[in-house]
Amino acid sequence: MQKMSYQAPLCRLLLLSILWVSSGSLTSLLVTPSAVAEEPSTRNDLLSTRDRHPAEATITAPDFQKHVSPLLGRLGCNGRSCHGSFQGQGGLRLSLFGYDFKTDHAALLASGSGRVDVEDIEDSLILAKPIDADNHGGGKRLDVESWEYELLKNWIADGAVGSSEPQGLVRLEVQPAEIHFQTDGDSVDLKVLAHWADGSREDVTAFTRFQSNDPQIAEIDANGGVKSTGQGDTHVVAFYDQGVTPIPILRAFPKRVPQIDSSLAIDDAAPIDRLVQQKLDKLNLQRSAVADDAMFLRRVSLDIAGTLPTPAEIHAFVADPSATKRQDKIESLLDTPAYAAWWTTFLCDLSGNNSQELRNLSYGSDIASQQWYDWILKRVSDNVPYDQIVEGIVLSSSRSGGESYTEYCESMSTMAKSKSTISFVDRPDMPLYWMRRENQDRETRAIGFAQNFLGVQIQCAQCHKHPFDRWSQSDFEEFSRFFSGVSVVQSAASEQERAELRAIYEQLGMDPKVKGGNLQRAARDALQQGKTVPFAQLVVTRPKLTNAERKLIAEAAMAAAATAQDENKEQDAAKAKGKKKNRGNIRGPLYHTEGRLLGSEAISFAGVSDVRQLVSDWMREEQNPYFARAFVNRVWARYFGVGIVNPIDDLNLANPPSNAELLDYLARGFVEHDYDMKWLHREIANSRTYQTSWVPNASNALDQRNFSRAIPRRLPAELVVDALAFACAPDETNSEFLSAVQDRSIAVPGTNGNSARFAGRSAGYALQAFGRSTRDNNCDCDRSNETSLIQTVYLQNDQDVHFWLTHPKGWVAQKAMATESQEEVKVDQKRLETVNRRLAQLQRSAKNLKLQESNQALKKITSRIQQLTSQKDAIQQRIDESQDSSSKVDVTDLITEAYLRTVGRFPTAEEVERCRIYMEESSSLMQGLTGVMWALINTKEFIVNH
Amino acid sequence: MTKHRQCDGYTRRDAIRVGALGATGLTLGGFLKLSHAGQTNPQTPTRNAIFIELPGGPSHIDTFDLKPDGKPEMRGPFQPIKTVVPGVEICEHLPKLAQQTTQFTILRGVSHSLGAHPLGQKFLFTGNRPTAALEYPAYGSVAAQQFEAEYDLPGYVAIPRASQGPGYLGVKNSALATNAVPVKGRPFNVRGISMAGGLSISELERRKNLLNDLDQTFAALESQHDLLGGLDEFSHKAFQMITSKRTRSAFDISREPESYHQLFADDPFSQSCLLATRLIESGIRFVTLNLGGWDTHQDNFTKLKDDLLPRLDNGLSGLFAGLQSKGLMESTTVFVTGEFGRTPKINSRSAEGGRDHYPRCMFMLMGGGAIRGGQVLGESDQNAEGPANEGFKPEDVAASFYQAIGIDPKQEFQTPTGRPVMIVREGNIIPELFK
Repeated sequence: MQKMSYQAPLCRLLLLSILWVSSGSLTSLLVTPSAVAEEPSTRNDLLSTRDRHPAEATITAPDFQKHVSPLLGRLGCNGRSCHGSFQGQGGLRLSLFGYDFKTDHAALLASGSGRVDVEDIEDSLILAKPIDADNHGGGKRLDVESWEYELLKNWIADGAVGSSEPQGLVRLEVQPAEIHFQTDGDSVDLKVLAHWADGSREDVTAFTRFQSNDPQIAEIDANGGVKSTGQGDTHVVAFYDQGVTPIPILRAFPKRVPQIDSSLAIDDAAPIDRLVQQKLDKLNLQRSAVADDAMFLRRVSLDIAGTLPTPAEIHAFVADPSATKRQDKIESLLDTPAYAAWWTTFLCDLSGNNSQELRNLSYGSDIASQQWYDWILKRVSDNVPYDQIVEGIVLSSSRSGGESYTEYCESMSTMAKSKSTISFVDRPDMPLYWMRRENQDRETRAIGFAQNFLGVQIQCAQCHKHPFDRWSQSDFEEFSRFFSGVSVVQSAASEQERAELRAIYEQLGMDPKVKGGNLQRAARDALQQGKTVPFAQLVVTRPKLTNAERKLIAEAAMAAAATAQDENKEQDAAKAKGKKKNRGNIRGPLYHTEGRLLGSEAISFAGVSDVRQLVSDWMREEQNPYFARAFVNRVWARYFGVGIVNPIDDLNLANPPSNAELLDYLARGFVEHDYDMKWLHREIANSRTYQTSWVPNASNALDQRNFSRAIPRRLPAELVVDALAFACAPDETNSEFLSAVQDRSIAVPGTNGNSARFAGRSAGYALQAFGRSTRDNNCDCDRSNETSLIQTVYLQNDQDVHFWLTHPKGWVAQKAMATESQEEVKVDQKRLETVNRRLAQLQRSAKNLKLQESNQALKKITSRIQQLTSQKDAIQQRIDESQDSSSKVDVTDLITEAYLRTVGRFPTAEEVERCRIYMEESSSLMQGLTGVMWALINTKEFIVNH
Repeated sequence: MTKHRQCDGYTRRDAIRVGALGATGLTLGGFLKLSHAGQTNPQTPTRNAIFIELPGGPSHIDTFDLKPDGKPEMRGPFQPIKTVVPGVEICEHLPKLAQQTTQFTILRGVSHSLGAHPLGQKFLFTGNRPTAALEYPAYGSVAAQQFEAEYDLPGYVAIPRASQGPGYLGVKNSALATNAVPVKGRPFNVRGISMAGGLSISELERRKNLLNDLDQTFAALESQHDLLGGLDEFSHKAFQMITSKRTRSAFDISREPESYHQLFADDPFSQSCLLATRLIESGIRFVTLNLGGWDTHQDNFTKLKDDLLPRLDNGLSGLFAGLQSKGLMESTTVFVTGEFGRTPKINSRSAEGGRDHYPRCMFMLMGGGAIRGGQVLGESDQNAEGPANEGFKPEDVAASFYQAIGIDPKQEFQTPTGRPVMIVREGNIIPELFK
């Protein structure tokens, strides 16, 4: 009955909402401020919540789940800096954002705490504290006259009852469903309706938490009032109970006369371009012009193959009249070893190929990282579909096809000794993913797996309900079960294998009890001698319950039994106590019997030998909302610097894509093309959208998320190092960058960057400084594309950079030397002229002497002529050789080539002139050219892709 | 642009902007906004720190926790000597430090359970027990994130490098690693700071002028684009630092008078200690040093007596004397620790015997700044096999160290994945450590 009296005042609102919903088609929900003005609750009479919702003040029986807990959230009580903090505040700890109704209720009602006092209601600390700024660490939160105070008071008066079983929220509806603003200060009040499982519906605006995803576009106040603050688009999000609902907010830029855009050989009707255009039209954004050939070539070479184009390539590409040259270039880049290496590095980032976590598996060597890298590399080179690569990783185990433990150890030992990964690469699966040292418990695996392959950040739900998505702690727990059936066994896993292990130890003459560092050392030595040593293996079983879980189940069973037999209660409790002590002997089930994948119904494990198969099948269902989306979004972000969802590994309800249709199209297309990665690369790289210039136009300078122009982004660490090496390398080396990738940074297998070398120099320091992925956090942000002081110090004055710039076999030295030999040619040519003049004189003299028949003198002159002739031939030969070995060099050419090698474009006349002055003021050509190269690699144009 | 929301609704960018930023790690948004608002110089008392790693795990029972009355198969041949603090005795092979015990506290009976080098180092050099899902930052990286650095100086320097990285705080909070140790009488080259490849300041200035003229392509975009604007700002700051007399002078130990040099021995660790005092004096706020070689499974006593203890004795006593003579003792906290102690029982791997990894009992030293000197805190049991009473956890010492340098150890950070995490997860400050 009390419930009725509480709902009654809401009838008016409910009725209104029903009318509103039923009256309209979808378009009527796209409310503009003018439309809102006709609604009964307009912003003109916008008052504070307590005035807007006088109804709440009269609630006589507030519900803990529906009202009290969300209200504490709205008041900020359970925020992270207050009582939601891990250690609580002032002795009171509430669950973060108040999703744990049971615990919070218990915390508020803790006996002796005085927080809730049903006898002396107003003495209850939850009322007394927040109205008193002096006595409350969190300051004043409530007025005595406020409806919130009244509501809390009523709840206590009503017995301060908790929620026995949380009610299910079916849907959290927000009205209007989309907002289009016109000018600054335009505003709309949101209304939030909770649809409960029992069919009831309730206006919960006053209990909802709101957030704007970009306050520079729209602000939202605590009461759901949305205000336009800038042009562009974003979402505001409503959070209530388990519900998360984002509302698109758009405000178009001023309309402008369309620019004439001379697009090159690009099909503007390509789906990507069409979908991007739709969004641009909504916002009155115009695309920037198409990137010119040089800009396109540098960008696409870096993005697809991680490599700068050579000067010769730029000359040829710019001069090529073919209409399909861009398409052809994309195809040829996709066929290079550099493409395979660079995108393998991408997949190693994604899957977490971390050397430190693999070291113990291979007795201290980096072979495991190399195996991981090479296994993927082979598949990327062969363009194996992405889902098959992932399946090979997910459904892996160490031994397959009846291989015995001994055979397994033999093959691993051979590989470790020979450092060859050939036989590993041919395996159908790649078990190292599950074998990393710090990836062994199922929670860590669940967090990692969700981020790696689903782009979902589920870790919040490990400790509390996910604040920005629907995941609860039980969603997390049930998901993690799928990862409890796979374990790393340090050596033998069965009686039979133990016998084999003993034989291996016997052969080695080693004590089987040797462990830890001693075992590692002894095994390393034995491997060197070509012996077989024991290896850890990945073993798949049914999904195991942990001892703690089994204990809980056993105790719950015990407690149930105890309740059933009330008179025997004490005895049973004593028994339960006894059981507790007997740790190794917990009765009850050993295995999980079912689990739930993210968003799925319960899935039975009955008859399934490897539950990872269920995960793999689910990911590859056509309707899976994450698997393909996460991948295409990540690849997209590599081409644009930002994802369609951003951050790229955070697909959650409160973080909607900037262009949902575009993401859907790419994900669907990727699945329809059987997860063909090259299809995706082609689709993106050939689009007009990708080939847009970074130069903004009048309309799109502020656009960051709709792909109306290219946004300059810092080169990834590997490409910084390789681009520096490339810029400084001699012609014959950098023409091989696309094919000879072995020593390049894009081919570093694990996280030890020292294996990348240029001219014998380790790249480890630079890779770290520029933020190569550390692969240790289950976050795409393990790779940093931020900039820092250490990086600019590196570019200006690091020994690496000086070493490369001034390397005796480097490009600068080569050119300086060639030019010096040009100087010598000039001297030789002068000498040649002198010799020729002298010869002519002598020949004239000889002619005269012949006439005079002066034999003695003639003989002398003839021998002198012979002497000079051979001298002349020698000089001529030297000149010919010099001119063969170096083409004609002039300073303008040098400056142009320096530009092409670094920023990939031709310099302007002013730039050439400035460089020429600098070079003239230098003491030598070497100094001048080094300075020009130094300046170029320190430009922003060099260090970003644009 | 959509920003990353984290567990509490902050965005990643907000998290980055929180707190003062170290010089090597100024992030863009933060730096630009602060510097444009003229807020880069908050008035906070200067608190510096020197953190000394002793990787390998130094034996406690042979150094600062001797058991002359312990079992013969455990106590070893070293004898205790008196120090300037009555009742406090340390190993006979640390005679110079015995004269300096008023400067620091000896912590005994520190105890944990991670007996492998990498895990132990992660634990002890970050103050947080390693977990699978998260890399914790080195002490210096936290300081770099929290402290304000001078405009032309790095905030956090490691000599020659730090064993732990910046973890979840990101590359911007990495140490400026010298990658080498100074050698007495020779010029000291620091990566990125010293002029390399025959480059002179005047040539560098000439190049920078050329660069300023050429680097115009994005000029119009810089004010609106965080990355481009930041590259520009950092490029200028890098140039200031490289050409700064103050920075080069800070690393140039030859500028110290001979009388100062005499406080330090002629070995790499002592010279590093000398450099550390000079860096702190110049305004660099956090320096990490490193003295390795403590993994004495074999020939424990010879190695300690002939090599490790003299080097430690010389370096640390020089460091304390140097800080005193520069008047920096009051503002600089010094913290010395390995990753674990060593087994009290002497093994028989070599004729002389050695000691193996032993996390259950170890020692640490802390002094300077707000730390009280001249005392021993904690106690190990009869044979130094474990703490006598409750003992200290590494987290307790870590929390105290942060407290001493003015960083609230209970402060919560955001990891890049959005987890809230306290700087030190489970530490209780040890009140007796403080003055």
